[in-house]
Amino acid sequence: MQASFDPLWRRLLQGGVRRRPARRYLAELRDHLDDLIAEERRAMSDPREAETRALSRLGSIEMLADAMIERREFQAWGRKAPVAAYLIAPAAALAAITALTVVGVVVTVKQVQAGAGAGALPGWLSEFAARMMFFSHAILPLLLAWALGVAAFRNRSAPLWPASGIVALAALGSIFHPILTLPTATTHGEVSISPDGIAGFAVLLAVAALPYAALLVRRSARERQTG
Amino acid sequence: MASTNPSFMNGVPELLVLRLLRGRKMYGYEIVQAIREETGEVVSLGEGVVYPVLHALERSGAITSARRTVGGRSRIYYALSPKGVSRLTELTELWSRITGAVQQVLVGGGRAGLV
Repeated sequence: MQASFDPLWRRLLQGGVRRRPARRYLAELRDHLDDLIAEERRAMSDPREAETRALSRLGSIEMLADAMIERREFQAWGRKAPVAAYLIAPAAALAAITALTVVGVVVTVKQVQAGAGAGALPGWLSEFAARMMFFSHAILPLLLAWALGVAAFRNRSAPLWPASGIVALAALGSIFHPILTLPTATTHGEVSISPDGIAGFAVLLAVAALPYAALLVRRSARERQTG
Repeated sequence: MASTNPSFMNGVPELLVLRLLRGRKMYGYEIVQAIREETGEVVSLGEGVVYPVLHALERSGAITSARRTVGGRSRIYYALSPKGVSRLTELTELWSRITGAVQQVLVGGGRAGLV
């Protein structure tokens, strides 16, 4: 990318334009600028003057950015519907994947139990169930929060809704902590919810928010350096 | 029967692009130069703003694009699709009605079917 297009790239992303159409727009603008420079050079001898005139004909950064930003079809979901993109969708994904994980474990336990008959359940089943519960309770909210943070950072979204989404994921992850009790020869199995408490929430939130916060701080420092 | 179209001015670049592409496939720079020439430079805009128009038309299915290498340079050529032909017909009729109505007002010829 030519240095002269960097400010336009930033304006487009800040304006909510998706990366792919923004990238294509800049690629075609660059080609167009090459054609304009070639045309202007044929008409005048000073290459710098030719480039200045070519840039002027291409349009100002504001004009070029606004022409793209005002078209809703190129807007990212994070811009069109930030609440849905950064708050509702990740929370719904967490709930859905957690529910599927629990159902999957329960179905597996029932299958194994049916195969074992009246005998004891194999030892690996307990380990498997515990790992799956740990995944849905601790790993999944983190993965979703990190993905959300990276997406928001790449799209240069305003931090309000991404941060809210990360807080919501940490809260849901710490509240809906599924505990699976395997059946024995004399008792039924059970799935229960055991909230972690404030400390668990705080730890989950800190780990979930760290990458997004670090990316924002680094970008801010870099932009201060470059002015 | 008049219809309301508050954004009809926004449709001018769209109309011009579709009309130009009716004849042949063109790439962005060619399209802008053709607009300048064919309108006697009356319609002149920041040349880069044609691309959002092209990309939106492509997204709506009115035009198609294909990358071709010509003279050692890779370019994206745009072509009118069947949907674009229909869109061009609609826009041309709309524009004719608008310009006819405005013209009637300018020459002071009675009640105009303003849109």
